[in-house]
Amino acid sequence: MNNILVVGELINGTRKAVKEAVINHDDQFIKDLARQQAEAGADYIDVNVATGHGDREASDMEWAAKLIEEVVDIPLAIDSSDPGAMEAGLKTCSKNTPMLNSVSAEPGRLDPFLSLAATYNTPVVALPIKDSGIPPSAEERLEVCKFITEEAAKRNIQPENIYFDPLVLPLGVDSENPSITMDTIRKIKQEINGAKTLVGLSNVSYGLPNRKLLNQIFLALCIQAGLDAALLNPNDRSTMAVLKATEALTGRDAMCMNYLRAYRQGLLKD
Amino acid sequence: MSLFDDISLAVQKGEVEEVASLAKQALEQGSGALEVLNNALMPGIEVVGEKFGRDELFIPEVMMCAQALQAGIYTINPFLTKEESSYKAKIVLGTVANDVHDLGKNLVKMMFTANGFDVVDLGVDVPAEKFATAVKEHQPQVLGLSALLTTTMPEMAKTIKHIDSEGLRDGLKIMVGGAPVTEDFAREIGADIYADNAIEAANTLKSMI
Repeated sequence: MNNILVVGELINGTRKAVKEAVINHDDQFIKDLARQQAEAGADYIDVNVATGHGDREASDMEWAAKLIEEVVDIPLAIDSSDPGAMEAGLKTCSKNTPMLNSVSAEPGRLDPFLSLAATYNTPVVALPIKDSGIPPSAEERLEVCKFITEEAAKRNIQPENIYFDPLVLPLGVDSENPSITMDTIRKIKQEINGAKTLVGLSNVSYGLPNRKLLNQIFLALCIQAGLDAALLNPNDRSTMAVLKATEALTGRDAMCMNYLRAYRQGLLKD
Repeated sequence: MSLFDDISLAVQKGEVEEVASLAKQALEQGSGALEVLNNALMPGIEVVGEKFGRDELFIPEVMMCAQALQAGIYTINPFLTKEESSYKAKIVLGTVANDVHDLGKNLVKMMFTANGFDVVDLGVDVPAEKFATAVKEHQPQVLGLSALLTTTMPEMAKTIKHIDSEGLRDGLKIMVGGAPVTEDFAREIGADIYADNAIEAANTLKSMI
């Protein structure tokens, strides 16, 4: 089993400071945030520059992708629900093949995004969401994942290049939500040969106190269920330490080499 | 301590069965249904709202409290006169086009319903035209728009413009909310009401109606 792929989540327009930096084209702010995440061990840098101000997303994406590639050697995850902004980001990346985040089974999002993934030959994050919303059960989410897999195959996108997000809904709203997510991970890994899984952690703890505690243990549980990648804050040392420890404990770190390296780098201290 | 205080406390603790049985007891002892509503159930849920605002209570607890409140309302409902039981206001709400997130909207719906508002829920991914049709059909006092994505926030502006262009804004207040939505944004797009969370939304509405 492989190491967990870490997608650094911090460059996101829903965060107030990032939104301001995007609107004002603050080069240094975005560069610093990208560099810090790469140094902290991210494998991809997620780039979401949607600020709620309509038409500028594509040009903002081009600006951000160009800047970030100047300062880091790892690939970007272009994160948008607008096909124009998505293409602007994919086109701008010249150093590494970016990841497309994300496609879903909603009519307006399936075809344009899969076509872009095929054209630019990128891995894709796929959400099992239909036009009727988020399927409540693991079985229904798996069905949507299979549908996306078939649609992707028509465009020569292999399951190995699809990171399915099993969808994380808040524990505070329904005690079953985390179990449904983990169940979905297991079913995807069992039933779609080669497919990968990715979660965004923080939604699980929405509305509850001590969110980090819940996020970290949920990360460990999802890894046990077969997770391949996580969207998280790599600058948070204790979360990265939980990741390293869980990789070692689940047979993803031969002879504990990564765990020991992290220890010697001082990364496992509080 | 009076029975009303006990009911209020049971609402605050989210004790569903306790609220129902105490409310029944109050009716049997001769209290009016409206009295139980206004002097026991509502004060209880108001405390819950305040504590939620101070991070003393969390979402699962608030949901239990809202269920307890509903159990109380269910118990007294048959004993309210027609006039008393009539809804304070009608609200149409939904999540805007291209956005399928319903968690926040559902919390808002739950708080509105618990507070005696008549709620028409249009669901998720609702285009501007469908909001307009529902406003014509249901004649609500308030239209509530929800969005969770920065990319779908512009749909809120689009919906408000559409409602205005259809001439439906007279006597209609538009409320907006959702994680990325700010008070500034609400003002910018011409919304009338902004609320930071579900309880604030219900409280704001109560103070307006």
